[in-house]
Amino acid sequence: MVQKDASAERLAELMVAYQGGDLAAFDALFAELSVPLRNYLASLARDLARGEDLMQETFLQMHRSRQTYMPGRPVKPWAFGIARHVFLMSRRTAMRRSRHETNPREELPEMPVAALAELFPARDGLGQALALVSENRREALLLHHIWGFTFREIGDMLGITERAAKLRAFRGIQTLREVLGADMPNQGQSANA
Amino acid sequence: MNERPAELQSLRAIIGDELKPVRPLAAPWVRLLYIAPIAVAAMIMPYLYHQIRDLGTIGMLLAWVPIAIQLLLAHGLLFLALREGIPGWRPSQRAIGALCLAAFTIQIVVNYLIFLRAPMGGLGASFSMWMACFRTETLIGVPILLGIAWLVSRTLPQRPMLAGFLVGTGAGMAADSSWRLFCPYSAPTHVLLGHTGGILILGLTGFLLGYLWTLHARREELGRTA
Repeated sequence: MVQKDASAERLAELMVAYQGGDLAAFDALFAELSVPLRNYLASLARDLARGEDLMQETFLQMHRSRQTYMPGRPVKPWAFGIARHVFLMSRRTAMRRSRHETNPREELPEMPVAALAELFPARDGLGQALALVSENRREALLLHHIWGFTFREIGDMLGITERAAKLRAFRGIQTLREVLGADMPNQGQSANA
Repeated sequence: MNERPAELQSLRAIIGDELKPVRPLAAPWVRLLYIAPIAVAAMIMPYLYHQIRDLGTIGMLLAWVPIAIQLLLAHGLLFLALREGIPGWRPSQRAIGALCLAAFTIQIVVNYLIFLRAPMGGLGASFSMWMACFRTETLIGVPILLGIAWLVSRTLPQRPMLAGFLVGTGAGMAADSSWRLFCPYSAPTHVLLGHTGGILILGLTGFLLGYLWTLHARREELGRTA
């Protein structure tokens, strides 16, 4: 917990320096945030390569919107909020494009359904099981259990209440349990881990 | 990361070229103060052309307390609209729904209580009056709507149409609280069409502004990815 607070404080200091025009602070922020952001985006897009592209787009958007970071507030929820915005915009654009394009359905590229598995190579089957969890629940579940956000932060990122975030993550865990059987830690253990 | 150094270098180069110090956004309640002069000017504008209604007939309590509550709720709606533009700090749908419901309930209930105490106006006689109220209330709300919409446009609203609706409804609620001091008509038809209608039309205008903002953002996104 102390380590998490120190890391959050360091990120906040870097962000303030970045707002002040310090390029070295951007480099440090990139080093700290690029991997979690890329993995988060890959989990949303269910495609690692797409996650990499969206991560770069996220850093550009973070740069354009850097004035929207309010000093004193945590940086990670802000950055993940922008990443989510970038993902949703890109998905809408792709949907609009596919609506206007005249390609026959069979020529459309296949979506890599099991790409989530690549994010969790150590846990056999977890990636495939996560792909079966609904998008809303999976997002809340991963934000809490993988990226360590509190339910309040998740609520602020997704525009839902803290309780709704907790419920989504809990139901996501329930679905995972059903898919994987009983070989799952309970939510309390996982949250404290 | 090492497999695509060229792309990361180009990202860093773009950011390095554009990097300038920026002033971070102030807290939403502070930004609300930025447009306070515009809001106050718009809300006292009717004093120049109209007389305050006879407050004795409805009682000072029913005149001023609901205005204070409605202004507070209007501020709440505008506060949520400004928060919607801050990534990672979006208001919950439940909070938005509860505040909208409270604001419209207060507006309708207070007007009905006023009608019970001092009924005035009817269906047939009130067409020109509800048009006048509709027009004036909208005119009072427009500067507030534009001021806040400008503040929201400088952020990154993730649900621009919802943010726009909140801006419009908040501006409408503020305008209505001011205009109620002048309008003597309290018939429910007049209130619903002239007053609540004015709030809703401002909400719709905000929603449309949000839609235009979305189109603009989409066009930019398409331009970047083309």
